[in-house]
Amino acid sequence: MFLRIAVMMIVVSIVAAAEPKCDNPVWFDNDLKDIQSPKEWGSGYYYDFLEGTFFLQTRQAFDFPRTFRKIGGNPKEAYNVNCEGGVPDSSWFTNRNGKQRMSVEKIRRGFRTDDGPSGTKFIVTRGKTAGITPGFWIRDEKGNQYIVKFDPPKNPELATGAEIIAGNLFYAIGYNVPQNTLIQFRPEQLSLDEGAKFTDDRGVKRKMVARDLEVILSKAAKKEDGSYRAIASKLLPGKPLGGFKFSGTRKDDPNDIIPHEHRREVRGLRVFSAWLEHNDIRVGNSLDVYVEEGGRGFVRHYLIDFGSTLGSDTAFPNVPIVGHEHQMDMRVAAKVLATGGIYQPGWRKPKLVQYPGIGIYSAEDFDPRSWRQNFPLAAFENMTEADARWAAEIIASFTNEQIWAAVDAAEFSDRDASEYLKQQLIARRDIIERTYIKGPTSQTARK
Amino acid sequence: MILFRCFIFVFGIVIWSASVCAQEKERNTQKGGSAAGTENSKGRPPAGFYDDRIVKPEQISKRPMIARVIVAPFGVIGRPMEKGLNYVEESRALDRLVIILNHPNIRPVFGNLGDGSGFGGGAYLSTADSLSPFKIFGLGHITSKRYLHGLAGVSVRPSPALGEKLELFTTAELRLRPEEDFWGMGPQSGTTRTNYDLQNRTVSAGLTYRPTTNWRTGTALVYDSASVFGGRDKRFPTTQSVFPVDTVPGLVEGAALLSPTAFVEYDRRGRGNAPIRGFYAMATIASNDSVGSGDYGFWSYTVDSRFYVPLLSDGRVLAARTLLWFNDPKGGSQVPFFRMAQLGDSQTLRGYDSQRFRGNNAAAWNVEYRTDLTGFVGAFAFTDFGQVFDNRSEFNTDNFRVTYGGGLQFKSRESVFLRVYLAKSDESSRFFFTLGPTF
Repeated sequence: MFLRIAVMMIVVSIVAAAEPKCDNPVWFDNDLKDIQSPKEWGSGYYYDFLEGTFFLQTRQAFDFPRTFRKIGGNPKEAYNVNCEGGVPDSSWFTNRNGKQRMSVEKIRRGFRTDDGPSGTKFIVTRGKTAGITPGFWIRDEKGNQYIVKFDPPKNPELATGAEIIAGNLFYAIGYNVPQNTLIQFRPEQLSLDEGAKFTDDRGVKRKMVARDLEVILSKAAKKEDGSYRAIASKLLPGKPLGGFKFSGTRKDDPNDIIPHEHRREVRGLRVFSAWLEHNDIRVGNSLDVYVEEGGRGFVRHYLIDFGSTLGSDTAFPNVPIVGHEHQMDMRVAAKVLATGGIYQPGWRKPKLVQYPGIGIYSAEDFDPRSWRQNFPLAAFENMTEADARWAAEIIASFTNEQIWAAVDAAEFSDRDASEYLKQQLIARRDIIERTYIKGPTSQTARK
Repeated sequence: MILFRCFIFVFGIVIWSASVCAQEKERNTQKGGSAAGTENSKGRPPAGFYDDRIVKPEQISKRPMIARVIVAPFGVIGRPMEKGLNYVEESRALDRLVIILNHPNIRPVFGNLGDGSGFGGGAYLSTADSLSPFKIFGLGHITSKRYLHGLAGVSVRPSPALGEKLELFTTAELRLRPEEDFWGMGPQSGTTRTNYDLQNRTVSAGLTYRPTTNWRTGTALVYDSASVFGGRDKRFPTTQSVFPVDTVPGLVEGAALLSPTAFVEYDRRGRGNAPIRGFYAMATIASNDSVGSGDYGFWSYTVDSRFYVPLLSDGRVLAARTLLWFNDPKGGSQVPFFRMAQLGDSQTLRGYDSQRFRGNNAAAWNVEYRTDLTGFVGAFAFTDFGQVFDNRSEFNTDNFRVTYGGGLQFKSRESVFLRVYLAKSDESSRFFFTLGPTF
């Protein structure tokens, strides 16, 4: 008897030591304190490429403690984690579907403060043909401003569909996103503001004329009835400061004390990006905004621009290597070189675009562990099993009905394409769940 | 393209550095010279600022000192580089440059004028479509070794029904090549390198016709007057001082030739200038007759055929090219030495010096194995072999010259824009840095 009690006490003490009590988990990390506006900085494609491809790798190679921890199987865990392994709400992240399931209607609606451009007449205030996609800015009858983005002519619904679906899902996951609304309009509904400016192919700014508007529309997918389908992305309130980096902190933001590569929601973003094929996730597709709310000014961190998610590469369908290798993937290159080219990854084979509005997005040969975005990112390189499991739990919390609602929000004209995308999203969700979650937790959560 | 980007990149850094210095100076002036701290300008966060944070600043471990010291240079280099690149991107400098480079009326031209001609550039001018159906065009191109190519011409598309299919043209050209190499003639030419100065004045008129997307054909009448002088490269003797003038046809007086020519071309390669499958062939024939001093008259025939085969994957390609170049003297006439077939340059036997072998005829083969390393970078290994010969009896296995090598190629979606590689032969090793593909 004494022996049994002793054994039980030892077992209990071991269990107690292994799993400390979590009576009062922290669910709010107050990084919304009043500060003066930090300085704006640029965040461009070229530097993202150099930083991720060369500088990051070199820095990490000389970070010996990190290397030893990695070899020893004891990588540094994220700092902003409560005792339940969750991420408290902050200027970066708000627990939504992972904590309390959102209604199907809310998923379908996404982040909205209004119903999008109001009225039937829109005033064009700025336009551009420079960059990957042409577009313009409009002002609606209430004076709200929106950026209007289109689909490529050969792939109607491709970029706008991806933008809506990914935006709604990233919002439901917990990230801050801009308000994106699907709109349809006819050219007659547009008129030019007297002071409208235009940036041409050469990046030269000048007064915008009617012909410029025609040129922009000629580069967009047009519907058979002469109308256009587009995304109206509402301008974020506040002062844009440039993208957030995936390592370090913003030195002039006193609220920003946790290195971004050690934030769970930034590390775990890798899994969400894998699910939604957000291969173009990088500094340039994020945005810090200095907002003033409740008498306080602070920085809020956004994900923006989801045109290159799911099967879309914004102006084209995805190329086959998307999600499988970085644009300059040294690991793959070394393998190919070492074998004299005998080794060529199977994913480089050309793929057929089955649905022009969906592009190339599939659960076939999807492996979230080996998934790669365009450029290496420090936070993604630091992702641990715990970070991945946290993200997988949230993904697993999405029911089939919620995913259907997210896809239905894109209003695809091709029912088969819509059904295909739903199936692939659900299949990828299940693969992520099987990969990172051992045990029934998420199954229970979803049911 | 990479050169332009490098240039713009460096330019961006310079501009940025200047702007930062100016801003810093202004800031220091405004603040009475005090350096800006890392804290918010409201001052250090007040006591208790971090009390309700999930983690306090002091709990966040910093990178060890040694790691910080080692990576410090990246911080020093990275920040200016980031700002410089962002400046380049935001100013759309590269887009502007690309537009300039592709301008239909005036655009810069970069590169050399053949192996060993040095690096240079110039400008191409054209009326493009503004005088349609006529087009007037011109080119001026000069290199660091004073090679020069000047061209002026007019083309016309006479038939609206045929559109771009039929084009008539006439051109006048001047080419100055002051340091051309000459090693002797025949498959066993010696190792003494000499050089000569070749000047060509050419006038041509003809037409091209493209009946289908894949086929193109054309004919022209070409008058070419060539003068030969002693080479300008002081490192090597002039050809005239080493070779007896009566053993090298055309060495003294040059030649003036009238040449009716015709060609036919078939192209099934598709996809930019980096094909992964397909076939290309071009054949030309010309009858060349002297219209000045010297007894020169010969038929010339050339064949250039290439094929590209993916090896079980689009990422692995076997590419091969056959170059045949035959000059058939008419009666007892001769072929001027500068119109003979030549091997040894970045297009034929890449491990040998420029124009290393010269003869009435030449046959050369290039075989390349290309593999994609990433979306932008590929590696390739190659071998070239071939020989020159004056008659059929000289064409034998003993006279074959072989070179081999390998390197990297950089490409955009479908076009190779830069190649860096090493080529070796039994005589020399050559390092190449070339714009565009080899074939």
